[in-house]
Amino acid sequence: MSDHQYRYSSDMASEETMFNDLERILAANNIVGKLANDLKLAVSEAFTNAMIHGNRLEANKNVTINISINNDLIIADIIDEGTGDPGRVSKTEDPELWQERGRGVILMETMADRVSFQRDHISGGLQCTLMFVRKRYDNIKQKSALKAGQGG
Amino acid sequence: MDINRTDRENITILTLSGRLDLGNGNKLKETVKGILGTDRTAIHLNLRDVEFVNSSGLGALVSIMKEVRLNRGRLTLSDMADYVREIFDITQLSHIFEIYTTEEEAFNSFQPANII
Repeated sequence: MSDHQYRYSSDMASEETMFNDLERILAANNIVGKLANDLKLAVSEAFTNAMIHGNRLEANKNVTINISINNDLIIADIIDEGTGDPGRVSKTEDPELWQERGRGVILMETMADRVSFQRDHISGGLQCTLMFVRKRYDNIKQKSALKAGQGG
Repeated sequence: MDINRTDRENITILTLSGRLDLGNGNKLKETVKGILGTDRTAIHLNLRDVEFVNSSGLGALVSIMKEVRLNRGRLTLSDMADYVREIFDITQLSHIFEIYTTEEEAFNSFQPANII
């Protein structure tokens, strides 16, 4: 089991730093393939939301990411310091195709096994929790291996 | 993200590599805006080396598509990795973008005989 915590200021440069940190954590824990891709996408969506909608790109406000990894689950908490209401997180069911925004929560919900929003009692901001069940990906790996075996 | 430009006849081909996210999406929008400003309105994006795209990157592509159409041009995409294609499918954006398997197919589609 491993736990990781990172804190980023809400400026555009943090996006790349966060991504590099995340890739390092995934590599160190041997998390690869579809699970790694889904995690990167979901965390990236939550991070962008926290930075833009939560902290409104105010550099003095931070986004904190806690990632906890064990053999069964990966849980990522992405916490901002804004005033967003957990009950009012935009979940556009069917964004108009020509819309430039509104796909973040849909992608998070597609990738993660569970997505929830709550008030963080320390920062007072919004906390997004993403949960990934590793077993689901074991099944995907088995199916891919089977397919490769049949193909070869 | 790196953006490598090649001009082939009247088509501007941009080969992208790296992550297509919020910051890089803005960079790509500026690049395309600059190209449209020189009256080159046939644009192809080769996504062969794009390893990651998120909703901000998708939003940038939608914005580019709108800008190209506003300039009466045409935008095509090609060479998507399976995972990137999956994201286009989940968000249904594969319905509004012209997506080709290869750059060559996209290039050929610009030829007069192939324009429907």
